Amino acid sequence: MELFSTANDFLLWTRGDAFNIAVSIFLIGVFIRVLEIFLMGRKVDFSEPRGTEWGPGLKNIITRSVVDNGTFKRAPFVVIVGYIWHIGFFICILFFIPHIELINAMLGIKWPGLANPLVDATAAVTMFALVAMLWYRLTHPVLKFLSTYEDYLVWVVTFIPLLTGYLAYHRMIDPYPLALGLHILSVEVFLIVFPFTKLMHTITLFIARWYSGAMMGRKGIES
Amino acid sequence: MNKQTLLEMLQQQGISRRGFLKYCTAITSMMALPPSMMPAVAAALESARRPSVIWLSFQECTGCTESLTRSHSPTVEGLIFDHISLDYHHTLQAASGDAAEHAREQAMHDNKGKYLVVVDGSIPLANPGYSTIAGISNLDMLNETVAGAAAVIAVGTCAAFGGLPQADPNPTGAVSVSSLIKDKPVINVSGCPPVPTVITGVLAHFLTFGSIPELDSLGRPKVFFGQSIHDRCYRRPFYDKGLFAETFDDEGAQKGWCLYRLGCKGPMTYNACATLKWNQQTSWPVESGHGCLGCSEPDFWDAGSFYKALSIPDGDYAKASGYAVAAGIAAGAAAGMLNKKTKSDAVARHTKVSVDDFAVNKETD
Amino acid sequence: MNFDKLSDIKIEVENSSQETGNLPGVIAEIKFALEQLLETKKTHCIDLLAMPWSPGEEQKLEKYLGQGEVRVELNALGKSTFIESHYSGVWLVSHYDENGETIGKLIEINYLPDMIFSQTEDIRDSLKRLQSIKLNEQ
Repeated sequence: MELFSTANDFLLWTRGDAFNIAVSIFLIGVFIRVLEIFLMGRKVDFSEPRGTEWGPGLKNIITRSVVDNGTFKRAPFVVIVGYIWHIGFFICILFFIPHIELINAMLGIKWPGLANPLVDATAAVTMFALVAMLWYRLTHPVLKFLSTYEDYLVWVVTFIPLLTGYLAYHRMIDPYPLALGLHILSVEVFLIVFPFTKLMHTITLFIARWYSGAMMGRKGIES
Repeated sequence: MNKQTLLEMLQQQGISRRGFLKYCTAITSMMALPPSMMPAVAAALESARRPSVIWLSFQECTGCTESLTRSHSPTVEGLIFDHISLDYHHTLQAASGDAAEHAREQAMHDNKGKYLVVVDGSIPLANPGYSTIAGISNLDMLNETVAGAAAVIAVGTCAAFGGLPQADPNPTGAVSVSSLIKDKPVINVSGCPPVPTVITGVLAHFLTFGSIPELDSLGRPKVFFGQSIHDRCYRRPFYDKGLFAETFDDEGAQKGWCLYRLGCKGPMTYNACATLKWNQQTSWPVESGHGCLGCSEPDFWDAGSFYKALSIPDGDYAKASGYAVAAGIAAGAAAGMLNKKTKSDAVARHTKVSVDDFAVNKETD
Repeated sequence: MNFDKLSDIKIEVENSSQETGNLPGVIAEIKFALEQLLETKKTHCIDLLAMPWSPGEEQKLEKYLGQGEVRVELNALGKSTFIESHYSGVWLVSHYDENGETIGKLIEINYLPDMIFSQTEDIRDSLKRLQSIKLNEQ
């Protein structure tokens, strides 16, 4: 790892080489895992289908986002706080103008953003929610029993980008190139860790929900 | 000549004490000190002797000297330059050749340990022949001249951080002054060019108090470089409200909205442009509708396009991503096939058993 | 059009829709300093060049202060003007160099800006010159 003589050197490295490395590892990892899933194939089902696969499959992706009564009664904390931090997380990533500029430069798509103070408030709420989730995981006996180091690692790499982003926006770390560099580096760590952990659920949830819906649909039952 | 105080020099020129106080008021403001400090500045300047200043120009475009001498037809700056004994300056001096070099050596000898060295331009290390003066390489002249100096002021981003010559691929092996001089105090007055008032403010501080102003982590005077452009920008309320110009001269640009999306590097740049402005407080880049280039920061030439927002990475990520996707698909396909093979091997290894294998009264061997 | 000096190029200042917010702050500082002057005779000085102004804001301040009864002009190292505003004790001091460029701009809260007074050193110097003239006449 190269030695940085100034904070600006560090920032330029995170925006240059480090970014290329992180994105490369992310893409290679994600493609390997997704391809492995699809190439596994499905056993031929000789029974006569009673319904279609694709329609119910796609429908399930959306309907599973609404929690069912039983799950809610059993784990209200996880459901509510989980929704809060996930929604907040996506608001911060997708509706903060500097992030929109980044996505536009990489993918060519653009959309209107939110005013900065709104995103700032959302980030604060999201961080609170994440800390609450960690506390719950540490104090609830079953969750604590089931938790592995990977669960905690994933929490850390998700929390740090929010924290460093907040600190950079409020210029709480001097000089600013150091603050921004830390934020970008933390996102790069997130990208590198992504394909090898449960963070893959971001992508596999669509596959899994489609599959469940498709299976139910083929059997002709409501998913 | 160098033994005269400023006050004596002004009196000789027929300038009254009122004129001296006016000069002190201007200098106090230039040093970004509160006006109540004017009497202290006056007291210091009354008894300050004229220090010798040697100005070395290396790999530079002369923009820094131009910035200093052209923006004002200097009265106050002129007085500062009269106050200092500018014993050597390539562009401004009348003498040339051997006579000039002799003047430099004489000044160094006469004022040993007390003179100020001002450097603009970077120093090439790849080959001393890239930049020489009177046959002396920049590196040699720098080391020779700084040996007996009290302090060094590196004026301009080239001298302070390497600047344009140091930008990728740095063919001349250009380096900054502070990377070479470790045993003398170095003040970096960066900017491409620096705000002229900042140059004179730093000189004035040294002349008034005989000491170096407080410096930040990059060796720049905190009084001028302590605040970022972003924190002092008059367009900041637009940034906070999320009102950005999307292209040059669109509706937002004409209304004076924030230039972040057009590549303004204000958030990461520390300089005094937003308050001191340029051309006698006329305007500065953002006020004129162009984003800040970040010209007072190290490596600003390599920090990505001037017209791409600060949040956009500037490596060749498109190419890297393309390779990664190809590699991912290849590796994924390979992994998939490997999995299939594992599965079919398992199926092949599977030995068929019949019910006879489970008979209770089986003869044992 | 003759462009001999920078100031020959006409600059039209459009009033920015965005103000820095320094104006009410400076006015508040003036009010406080004026009160202090009455109570404790302590003077105060505000350096206008030290703060950022959006286009047209400084002119707004000058218009607000206006011009009162007294205007003093000084000629030393260029021109300087000391204008008492509509508000007694509040002086707008502008320093220009020999080319008419601004080198200082302050608001001084005082009975009379110190620089207007004849300075002791100058008086001493003048006395010396007067005495030498008398000698020549003899």
